[in-house]
Amino acid sequence: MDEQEIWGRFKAGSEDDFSLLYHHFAPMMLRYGNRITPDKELIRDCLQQVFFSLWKGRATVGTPTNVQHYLLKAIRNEIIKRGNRDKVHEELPEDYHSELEDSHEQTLIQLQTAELTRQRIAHLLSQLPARQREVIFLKYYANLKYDEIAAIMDIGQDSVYKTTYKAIARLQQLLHNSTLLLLALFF
Amino acid sequence: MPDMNHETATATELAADHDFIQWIKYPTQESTLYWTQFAAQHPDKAPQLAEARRLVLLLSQEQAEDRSCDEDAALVWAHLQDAVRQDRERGAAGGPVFALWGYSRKTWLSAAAVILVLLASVALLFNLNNSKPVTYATAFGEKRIIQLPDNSVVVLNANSSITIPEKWNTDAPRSVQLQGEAFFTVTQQANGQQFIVRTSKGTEINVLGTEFNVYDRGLEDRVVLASGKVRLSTIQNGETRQMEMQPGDLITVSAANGLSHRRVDPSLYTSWQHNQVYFDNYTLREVGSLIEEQYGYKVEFSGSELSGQRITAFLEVKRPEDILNTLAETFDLKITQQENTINISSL
Repeated sequence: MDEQEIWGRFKAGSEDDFSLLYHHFAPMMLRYGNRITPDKELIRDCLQQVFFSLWKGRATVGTPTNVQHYLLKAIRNEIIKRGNRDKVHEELPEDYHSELEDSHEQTLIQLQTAELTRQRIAHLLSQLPARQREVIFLKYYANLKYDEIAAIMDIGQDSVYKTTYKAIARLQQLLHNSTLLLLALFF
Repeated sequence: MPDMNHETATATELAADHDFIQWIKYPTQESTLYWTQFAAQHPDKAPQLAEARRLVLLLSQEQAEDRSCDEDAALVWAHLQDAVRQDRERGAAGGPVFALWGYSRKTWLSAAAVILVLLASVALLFNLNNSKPVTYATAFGEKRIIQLPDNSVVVLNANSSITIPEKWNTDAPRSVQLQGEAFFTVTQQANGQQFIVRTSKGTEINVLGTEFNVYDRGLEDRVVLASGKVRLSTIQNGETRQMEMQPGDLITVSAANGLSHRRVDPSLYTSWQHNQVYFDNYTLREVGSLIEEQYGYKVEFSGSELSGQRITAFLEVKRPEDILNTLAETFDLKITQQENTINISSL
């Protein structure tokens, strides 16, 4: 779909195009919200607030060059603004190693599969610190460029690179550990 | 990284490289050419390339874990519509406008209850009349998003239609008749009300709050489940057969081959919503059928050998030319068009 055209018709008051924008972008915005806070109710309220403000201000709101980028930033700002700071995912130190390593291995043993299933991968990814998961979501799911991620998260592009590298290195390490663990199970 | 030297890159660096990620996730002819040439010229980089590919695919999978988002999106949309309507009414009265909802769970629940009661009374009123079926249809090359009365959402692919009753009774199953192809996101109702999709070939998909794709064209029905749970029933030789589907299941129903089951990545089968198509080891004849079904052309092949050739590809498609150009370059074809007929022959 041509975003700019749809946005133009939405600005002119078309409820159909407003609906189109909502249904196209809301699921991704909710998923992104889940990377920022565990409070689902807060995320839903923020989503509603973002779209309601858009609808109210449609006559004066500008036309973003990239609608997805604009909406992801909007929901992030809304969550941070509204969010009780302690409800937002606690920031972990960058060199954090899960103190739950043992229980993590327990879970892996319970999953007991010889190949990497979706469930196990999701589990491994959930071991990453919140900030790394946020960057990974924006990079690999929302498919944004590094400068766009930096703009959304209000951090320098260098930090985005570093966080991405750290996430990948950590994932490799977790994969390695779980492979060793599986080998240990079999021999 | 923007100007990263791919020749000296580690697997980690490649996996974080924007161009590399784009190639893995959304390959184009240009990028495929670049990376295959790169691999051929640097055979020593093969382990890094393989590892980087694996990492990108792993990192892209995180989306798989939260499926509640689509139900949440439907819920928020219902509230948003209320808010917009109330705002319009207040706006007309010239009164001031305030935020229309609170942040507590209680507010959400009471609003949901009001909607339920409202819907129930509306249903009572309208059931007295004979409700007429309503049909939504798309033209060739057109896609459309339709919100159903229960806030379920249907994305209708080109040259497709759905028919629903004008109003749904709250105690009878919600029923939709489909021709063509559509992606359904179905809301779960408090009373466990069923949602049934029927295809023109008599396959029935029975649902409770879920996302799935139904393809009803040509000789077979294809159902792909993205999340949730559905029960599929079909009549084969006068016998009813039922199957429960799990996310990632693809079930094909055809008169010739009966029921067949396969595990797939659902996102490949639902990507048409975002103007991407996935040819899963298709023959050129099947690719031609897709162009006929979705864009209304007639596609002819000169030579039966040609139409049996196979292709696996994931393409960004806005117009039928996007598919034809890829075929032409991959198989060295000559493609001509006369009015509504496209002719494909070897060079």
